[in-house]
Amino acid sequence: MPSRADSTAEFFRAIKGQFSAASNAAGIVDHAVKVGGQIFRLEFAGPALVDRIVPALSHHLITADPNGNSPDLTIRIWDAASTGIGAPAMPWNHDQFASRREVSGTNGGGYRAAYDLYCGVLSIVSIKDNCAYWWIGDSEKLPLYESAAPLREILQAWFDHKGGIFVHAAAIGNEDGAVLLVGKGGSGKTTTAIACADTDLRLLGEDYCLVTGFGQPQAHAHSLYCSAKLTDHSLDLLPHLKPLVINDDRKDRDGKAIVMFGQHFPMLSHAPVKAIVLPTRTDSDRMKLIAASPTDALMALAPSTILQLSGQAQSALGHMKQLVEKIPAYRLELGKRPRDAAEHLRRLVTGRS
Amino acid sequence: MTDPVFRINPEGLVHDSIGGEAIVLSMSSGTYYNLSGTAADIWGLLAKGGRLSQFHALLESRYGAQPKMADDVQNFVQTLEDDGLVIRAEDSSEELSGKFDAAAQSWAPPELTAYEDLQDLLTIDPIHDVDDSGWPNAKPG
Repeated sequence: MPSRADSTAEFFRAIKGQFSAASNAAGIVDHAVKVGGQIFRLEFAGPALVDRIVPALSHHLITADPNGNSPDLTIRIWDAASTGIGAPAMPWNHDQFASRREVSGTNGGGYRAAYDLYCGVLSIVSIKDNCAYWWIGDSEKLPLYESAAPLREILQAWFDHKGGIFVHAAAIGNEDGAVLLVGKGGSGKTTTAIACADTDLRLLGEDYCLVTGFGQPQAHAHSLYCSAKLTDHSLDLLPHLKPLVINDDRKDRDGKAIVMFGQHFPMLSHAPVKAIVLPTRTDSDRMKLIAASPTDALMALAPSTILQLSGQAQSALGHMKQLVEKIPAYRLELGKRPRDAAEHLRRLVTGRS
Repeated sequence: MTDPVFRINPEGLVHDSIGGEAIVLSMSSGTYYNLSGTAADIWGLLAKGGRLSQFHALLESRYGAQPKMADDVQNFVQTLEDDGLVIRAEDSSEELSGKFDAAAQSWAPPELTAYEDLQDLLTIDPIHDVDDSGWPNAKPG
């Protein structure tokens, strides 16, 4: 009986053949994006998934690597319905599907596999081959909330390998620096970040961003997706976004409105992290910024990051601990006007009081 | 009376200490915990594993004799065991020391602060169909 690592390697070879058949049948559509300093080639078998994957990454699109280098990672993407080619037979037991979409026992030998039972999305990365595959049975069944943050498991696995982690945070800033807004859903981080992105500050991300440089003197935040997911309450506070909502029916699991923010407004691609801010909703007329402890920051940042994202949970916690120990944290008591936060955030970004 | 060895459950938890407090996350339930003060002290001891009598002796040397200290420690470790955060072990392999992460404050009974507001982030296996090649798919609705 082959070991789990052997069966994953065998599966990777099989999926390569299936993608080749799909691309022969439907043709190749190529895009390239540069995210966090890494170049990713997105190789689609046919056009069916292009409009479901590319929009949330559209602010990272590049025509070609200016230095003529090959991509750091090639991601091959297809669906069965439009190409007639399915994924290879499943090599794993159902009990290997873990709660965070990981397929347990597949992370050895430079591979990492994930399977989302809700969407039927399969992702597998081979670090040593600089290659990944992403597959769904039917592109029409990909929920819009997945289109808002596509290829997460693949990008996350790649950046794990490169020493960066995805964090569950909104981020806003300018060339001087960025502020991470952290907290559970409903804390006000999305509304605050987007409201302030209407000033001289720009959005890096609304839900997830990439953080690198944990062990270095300065950590950096990088934009991942240009999408924003908004509750009705947030939309009422940000009415200029209402005409930009792409899912009026809100049939997705979390019922939030989705806006491809970066297709309408400029975004910031990366900046040094200057502060971690924990927003809290209040009915006060005046906002207050109060120093918070590293423990408060880690409690607000780590659990929701680790539970939402697959990957090495213990090492991710260690990285986030390193981050909160060197970056100052604050509680931001929000008032009635989220845009009032801009002045506080700008001061944190520039370091000027 | 038995005096079993307890240690942190090596399965399904991520945890770390920061600023003299411990943060613990259960990957199976999605519950996360904050332990401070005497609770963080005991968590630090459980990281190495040991007997309740050893924990009591070390805490008594740190805080001085306290009424009901032994009961407080036992009840707290029982709460941790009930939540699946600690397990009973065969034996302790490391020698316990009286070194703690944070300076001692005055004794207060250890408390476990649990947060359950993120449990819905864990994907629960939905009812699913399986296609011809074995790949499962959630049924809509």
